[in-house]
Amino acid sequence: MNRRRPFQNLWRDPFSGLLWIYGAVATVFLLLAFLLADWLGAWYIEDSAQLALEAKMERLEAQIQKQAETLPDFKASQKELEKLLRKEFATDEVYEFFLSKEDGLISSIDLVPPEMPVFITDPRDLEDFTFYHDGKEVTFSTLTAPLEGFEAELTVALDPSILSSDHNWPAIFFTIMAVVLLVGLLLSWWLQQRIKARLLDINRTTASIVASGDLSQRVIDSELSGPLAVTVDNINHMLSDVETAMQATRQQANNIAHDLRTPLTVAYNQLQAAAKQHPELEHSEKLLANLQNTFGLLLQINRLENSSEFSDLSEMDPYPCFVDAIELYEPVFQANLQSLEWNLDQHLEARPEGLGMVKGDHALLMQSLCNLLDNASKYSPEGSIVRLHIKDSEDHLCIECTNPWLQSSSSVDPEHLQEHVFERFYRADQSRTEEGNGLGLSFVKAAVHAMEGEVKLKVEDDVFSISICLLKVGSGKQT
Amino acid sequence: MKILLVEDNQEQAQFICKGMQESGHCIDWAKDGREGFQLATQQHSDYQLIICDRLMPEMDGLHMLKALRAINMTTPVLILSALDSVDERVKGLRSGGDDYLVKPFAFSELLARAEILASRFSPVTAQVDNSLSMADLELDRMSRKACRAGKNIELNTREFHILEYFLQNPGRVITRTMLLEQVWGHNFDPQTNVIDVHISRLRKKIDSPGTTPLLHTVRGAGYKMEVLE
Repeated sequence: MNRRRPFQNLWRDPFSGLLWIYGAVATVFLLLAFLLADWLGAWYIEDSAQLALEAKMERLEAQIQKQAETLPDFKASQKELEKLLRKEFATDEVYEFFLSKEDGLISSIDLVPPEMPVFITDPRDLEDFTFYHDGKEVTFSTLTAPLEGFEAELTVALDPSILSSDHNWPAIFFTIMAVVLLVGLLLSWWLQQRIKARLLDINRTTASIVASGDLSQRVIDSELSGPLAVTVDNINHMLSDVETAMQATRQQANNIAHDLRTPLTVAYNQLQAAAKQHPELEHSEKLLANLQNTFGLLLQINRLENSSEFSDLSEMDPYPCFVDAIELYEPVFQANLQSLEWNLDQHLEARPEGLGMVKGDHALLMQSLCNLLDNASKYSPEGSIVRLHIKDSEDHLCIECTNPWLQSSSSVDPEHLQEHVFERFYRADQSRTEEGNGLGLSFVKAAVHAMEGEVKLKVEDDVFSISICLLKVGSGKQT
Repeated sequence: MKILLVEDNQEQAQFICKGMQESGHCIDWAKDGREGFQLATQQHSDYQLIICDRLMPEMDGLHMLKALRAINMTTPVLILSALDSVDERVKGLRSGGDDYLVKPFAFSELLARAEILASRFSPVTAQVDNSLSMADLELDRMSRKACRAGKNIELNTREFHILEYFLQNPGRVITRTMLLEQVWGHNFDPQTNVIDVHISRLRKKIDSPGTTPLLHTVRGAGYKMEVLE
């Protein structure tokens, strides 16, 4: 079982890993931006205000300089200076204060708009100053510069919120960044889902091939380009090659087998005739008969796997086969001092129209059920109860055969059995002294797959159970 | 019984001919379908059974069979074939074949099938008897009752059909596959002792201790029911 820690899985899955890392970085960025927005905004605005103040200060200094050059007594006239400043006081954004160097405020009253309260005595001591206007706190940024020739300093003050109200660049920047990150995250998720879907297609197809042995299946490659499309193409190409090779091998095996049938019949008939005269040949006759049976069954499995047993599958009622198999094998169980019990899902018993139709073939189902019952009887101890149960599911009708299985009496462990029991010539009895050819369950698997059904196997400590599940006619899975 | 064998494999044909002759039957051999058709349709041929291979040169078995049925020849035909898929069996029987035996087969199986097939089409046994019997064993098909020496025998449905089949073919070998086909209606070899178990149960009921055994095992072939002298 995979017991890796989550982050290890994340590291080993590059697609999820990338998405998670991207998501984490984006989240941290957005969180920081949210937490520091106010601080960054203030910093930006103050920085912007400083530039505006410097520009204003520069302009005022230039104006004063110009006035001083054109008016000889300008420097002596405070009123002229005030007049100039009043003239410059043209916008709502900037407030200027004219201050004496030592005696405090020289003039400010006339320069402040009437709606603004005047309370500043010496703003030279302040970098920023705050007051309340209309119940709101207003913080001014200030810049102070000496006025040459006036023995005074000019302080220019600016309400920075005026700048931020129209041009909140940090907010815009953060919003754009957040949108880009979120769109990026969504795009990554979408891309990951697409790649994942293609990989799941590949996984599904390969798993289905492994489970059914049907090499005619292909990975869907529509609407794909790039390396993933090349991978899908290569896998499909490889599957085609394997399928062709398998078909050729099976066809060759079939041809060889057909060519061998007549000479084998002659040899067997001659041996049978000779055994009548020479009883010592009876063992060889029996061996050859077993060989013929094995040979015939192997060919039949080959044909079933090659889908050449039927030209067309029919709809059938499985119930008569179920009853026939029970009736045929009940005496065998009794002879082996075992018992055979059977039942149906409760709602099936109550159904007047019977079990319903499934996709299948009478002969194949009967032969498969006989193999299951024969196996169950052979490998169950005396006094045990073998159970046949018909289960109904959404798409399938399953016939489950459950028999006790003594693990202690077998050298094979359940996992090994689970993995290999359907292989040809597999024998749970590794000494191979038990009767049988090890093809019974291989046949069951091949027959059920040929009927487009499923075989399910459950091996537990003391119970062995095989289900033959046939597709119900009209079910969603029917092709 | 007069039999026509149509088989292209000389060795196989010779063996079947020899076996049939040793079993008291008269047999003619044709090497391909064309020759088989000629032999089967010539005047006074009066074959009671035709055994034909499926894959042959010139005219294959199915073509010959279709041609024979086209001229309303009703002689029973047993098809021998290496093609054993369900589709091929169906094709053979739909072309007019009456039985289909897959290679490789035991000669005893061929002989048993040939004899039973010919007897089924015999005008003597074509009439249906409601009552079947052998020695002191009687079977009433109407009331579905069996008794031996006047003593009632309890049989379930399958046992009744097995006994009925044996009594319809007295003294003839019946193989396990034939029983599965005729009594259960399934056409495959279970390769287990399942039929033997059923026969054993039936035998216990009809050949009870103190009675003359009627149901006999034929080694390497199957069973037959007869009164041994």
